[in-house]
Amino acid sequence: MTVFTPTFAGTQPDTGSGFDILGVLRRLVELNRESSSAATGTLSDRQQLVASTGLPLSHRVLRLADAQEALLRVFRLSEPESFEPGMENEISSHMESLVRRHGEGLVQALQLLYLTRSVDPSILGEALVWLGRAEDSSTRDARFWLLVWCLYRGEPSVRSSAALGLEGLNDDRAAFYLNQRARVEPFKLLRARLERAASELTS
Amino acid sequence: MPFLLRRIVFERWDPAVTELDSPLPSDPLADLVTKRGNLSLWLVTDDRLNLDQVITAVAANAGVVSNVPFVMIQHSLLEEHGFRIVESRGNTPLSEAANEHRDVVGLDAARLVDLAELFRRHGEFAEYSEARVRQLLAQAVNGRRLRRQDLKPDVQTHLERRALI
Repeated sequence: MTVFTPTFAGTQPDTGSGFDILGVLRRLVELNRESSSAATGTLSDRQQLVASTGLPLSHRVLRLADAQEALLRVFRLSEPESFEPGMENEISSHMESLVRRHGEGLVQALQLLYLTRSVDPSILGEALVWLGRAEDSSTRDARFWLLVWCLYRGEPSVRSSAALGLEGLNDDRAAFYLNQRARVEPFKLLRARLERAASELTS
Repeated sequence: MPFLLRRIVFERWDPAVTELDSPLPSDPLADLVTKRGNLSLWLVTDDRLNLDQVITAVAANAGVVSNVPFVMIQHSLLEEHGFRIVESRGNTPLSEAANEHRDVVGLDAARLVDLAELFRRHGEFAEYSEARVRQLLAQAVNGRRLRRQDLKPDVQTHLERRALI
């Protein structure tokens, strides 16, 4: 079994381009937060960011920014009281189409929003559940590694949602990580969920 | 003795269940929302043979196919603690399960806290996975126990896309 090292959406961080991509992305998150309504303003801010860094904003970064904007748009419309098993909400309705439209960029954007503490954990949790349940083969691996990474985060609600997301993804590789996490999980019901999910994935 | 079942959200109960010596947190009360002082619960037989049916009844009324976390407690334990339990019709399109439903009646805020305390100390917490729920719903529709048009649109679409119904 390969030892898992948490990285950026399950891949190595993009250090080859020689600049702090995470720093640029963090700034993009801030810009998007500041400019929630005016799309043209956002583009202008992005251009200013490019100018301030003196670096070309790569296609990948722009794609990431678009994915992040799309996610934030859905999150803004979400009502946390609807985040219950069996209840339809903005995230359950839109996550699959977002994944299909933005591909791995969406997975990375979600991770970035978490890393920059830009999203309430309850919203992130709901997004993780439906990220795992989305049907899209091209992003399967990226989604898998993000969900595994989230199993090791500090917030119990994030770990719990990651377990449900992994179960929804139905990838039996997750059983190893679910069991590993369950062995050190302090919360009783969450531990039961991790063990049950692991057991069902291998049965 | 039979059990009484309530669908819950695990995250609301976890600190309360993990730390039994601490005062009851308020979050679990969000899973015990009453209507006119009555709390809706599903009846599970002592041999639990109708548990699948009860979960199907709960899931059939949902807006999306999802996992079903729940807590079960012995019917007799609630009676011993003075809770009044009456037969009532369950809100579900699975008509054969509608009678497997009870209400705890006449609850005030203090009694609701007592009930939550009983659940956390004596309840059995468990969960049906999304995959199992999907399977149960498909079986009910294909077995003509549940009409597909009685399911919510997202649930119908979910099952149809997977060619399960």
